[in-house]
Amino acid sequence: MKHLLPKVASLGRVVGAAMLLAAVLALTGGTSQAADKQITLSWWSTPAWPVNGDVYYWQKSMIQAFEETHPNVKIKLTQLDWASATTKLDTAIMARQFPDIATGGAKVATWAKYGILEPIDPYLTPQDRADYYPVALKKFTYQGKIYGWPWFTTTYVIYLNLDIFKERGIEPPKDGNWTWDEFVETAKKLTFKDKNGQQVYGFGAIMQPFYYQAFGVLLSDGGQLLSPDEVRFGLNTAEGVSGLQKLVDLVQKHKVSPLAMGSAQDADMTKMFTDGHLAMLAQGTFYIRQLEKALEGQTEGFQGTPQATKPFPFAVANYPIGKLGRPISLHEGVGGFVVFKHDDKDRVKAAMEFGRFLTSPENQKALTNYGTFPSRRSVGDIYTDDPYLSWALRNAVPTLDVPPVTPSWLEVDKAIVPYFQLAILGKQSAEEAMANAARAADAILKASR
Amino acid sequence: MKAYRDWRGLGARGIALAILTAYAFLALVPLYWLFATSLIAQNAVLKFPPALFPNPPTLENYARLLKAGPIGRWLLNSSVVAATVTFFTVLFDSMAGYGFAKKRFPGRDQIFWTIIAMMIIPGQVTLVPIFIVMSRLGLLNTLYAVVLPALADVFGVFLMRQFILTIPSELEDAARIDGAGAFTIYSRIIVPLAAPALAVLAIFTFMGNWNNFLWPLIVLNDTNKLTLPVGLATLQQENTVDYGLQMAGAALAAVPMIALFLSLQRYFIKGLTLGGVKG
Repeated sequence: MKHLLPKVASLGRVVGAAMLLAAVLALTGGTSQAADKQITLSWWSTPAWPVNGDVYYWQKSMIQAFEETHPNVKIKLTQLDWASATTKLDTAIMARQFPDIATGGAKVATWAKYGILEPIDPYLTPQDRADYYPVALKKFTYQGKIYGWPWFTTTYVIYLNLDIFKERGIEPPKDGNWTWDEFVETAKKLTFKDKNGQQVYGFGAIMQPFYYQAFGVLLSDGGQLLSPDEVRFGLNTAEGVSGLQKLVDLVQKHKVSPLAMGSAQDADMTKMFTDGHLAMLAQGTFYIRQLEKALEGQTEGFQGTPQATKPFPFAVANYPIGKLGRPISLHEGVGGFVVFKHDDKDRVKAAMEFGRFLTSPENQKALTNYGTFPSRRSVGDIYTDDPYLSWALRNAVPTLDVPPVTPSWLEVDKAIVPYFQLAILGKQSAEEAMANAARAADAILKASR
Repeated sequence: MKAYRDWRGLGARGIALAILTAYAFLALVPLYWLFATSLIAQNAVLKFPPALFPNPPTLENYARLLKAGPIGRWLLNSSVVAATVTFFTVLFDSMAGYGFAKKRFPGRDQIFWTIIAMMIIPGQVTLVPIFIVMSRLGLLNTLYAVVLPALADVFGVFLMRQFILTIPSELEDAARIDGAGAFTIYSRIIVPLAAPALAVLAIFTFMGNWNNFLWPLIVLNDTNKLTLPVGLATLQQENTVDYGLQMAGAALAAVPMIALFLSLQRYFIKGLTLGGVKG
């Protein structure tokens, strides 16, 4: 040890000097300041689809195209990864060091309440307003103002395993729509023990906080999540209770859904479907692409959604129609871009122009890469070569509704779902569960006023 | 009788050795899996049952990784951050540790325990305040913002003080009689004798900063300023996992750490037992 020390010390000096030199070199790559009247915008974005392995290729190409037509504007892209985007944004917002424009949709109400978002209303023409699907604007509307450029929509549909339909001699619903009674009858016929003695269930949809797969049934009789003024829980009505009763009946009375509906996680329920233990599954439209790829024999890794071990022919349908008189699906499903407040009005204007550019009808055609749908009607059918996605665009997107845009909704959601789970598991009646959910939700809504 | 005892001892040691070998094997499986998967072609990664050996092994994932982002730049940034922080942490913590262990001044112990009390504050609590400080200093989106808040740490001060306490004060007295000042005593007596503790602190600090994710993520924005763990995270898509690419990245990030650990293994083991035995 002793005779080693001088050597270590001299080596340390050399390494130390080299290190400091490297540090100085690396650290002096400081920030560049725009010298003239250039506007530099910062855009924080989560990944898009990969092009040659680059998941930010689309963002870079959009920046390049915008800068070509706006020579005085430079846009700096900050690449956020999915797992930590929220942490980074939240910290920046707490320190009021937010970007000019960010990809987002989930926290619009909270940020608008903080007063850190710019409303886009002054930048919308009457043509724009008429062109956007109402639900796309609703997702970004807080207290009468629109706080973001809607980019895409996505929703839930019901997937049908046609192998099981064929085995049981049943036809899928014509044009993908059915009444509640037709749906239950179908589910009953699809519930059986297969030749290996394995129980196959007719239908599955998870009931978990922040997942709305089962809400297409829950709201099918016309229940409203909140009162119109958004100050009270709105589902504790005859319509709301009968919607919950339908979910309970699927498990407890008709026995066409597994008891796990009251507890299973998203991946587990999806795995039951891909394993052939579930004939129908409520899941997001993003899943269409995965089932198609399985049929084509592709073996890509999908996070959180199990791949079919054995591909099967499938179809998609809407949620069954209840007393509401039309199918409904509830989904967080609108994404877009929010513009943050800034003292420099020119900068805000440039960010707004960029937001408009990103979500223009022409640029929304690229959404085919995402497997999502446009937020503007004028984009038209971007899936003419894909019957499933084309059907969903024409028939399922119009059924989409979004959860209430209010800062306390996520907390309310987390509080009410456990009662719905108890009802599905048969531990509480639908009325009792709804009354308990209403108490919990109203306490949260009252506290947030 | 003695022979029996020897046999018994040997038997017990054999069993212990077998259990430890099995445990070591279990601990190494994930690491093996990481490297094996990084050498399997993209289209064969998710085969079921999974392949235990890459057959044939391919560097395709590494080639794709190098194309996917400025990996070299991220490696350099990570190295600079980890090395700079390690150098200054070892310097400052050993100085503070020496002061608290050997110097007498009013309120010494109170100050020391106050500093130690800082250990109970979770990092998340100081995240936003430090972020605001860095923002006011105009250092956001620079490596300074990653390095500065980490230049000294409480754990290191505590470790160094505890170790320096075990160095006999007579050595200091002898040096003082020979006319050595405080800094000479620190650099010529304390540092050489505290080498094992310094090495342990250096390893822990380097590893911690090499793998640090949250803070660099929050303060860095530009792609070419990211550190390796943060950079690798940006290569991930939403619904699909490119396991080959991720594993290649993780392997690349792990190799320097594995090399560091193997070369300084004896210090590392010493570090685990430091403070357990005096003298």
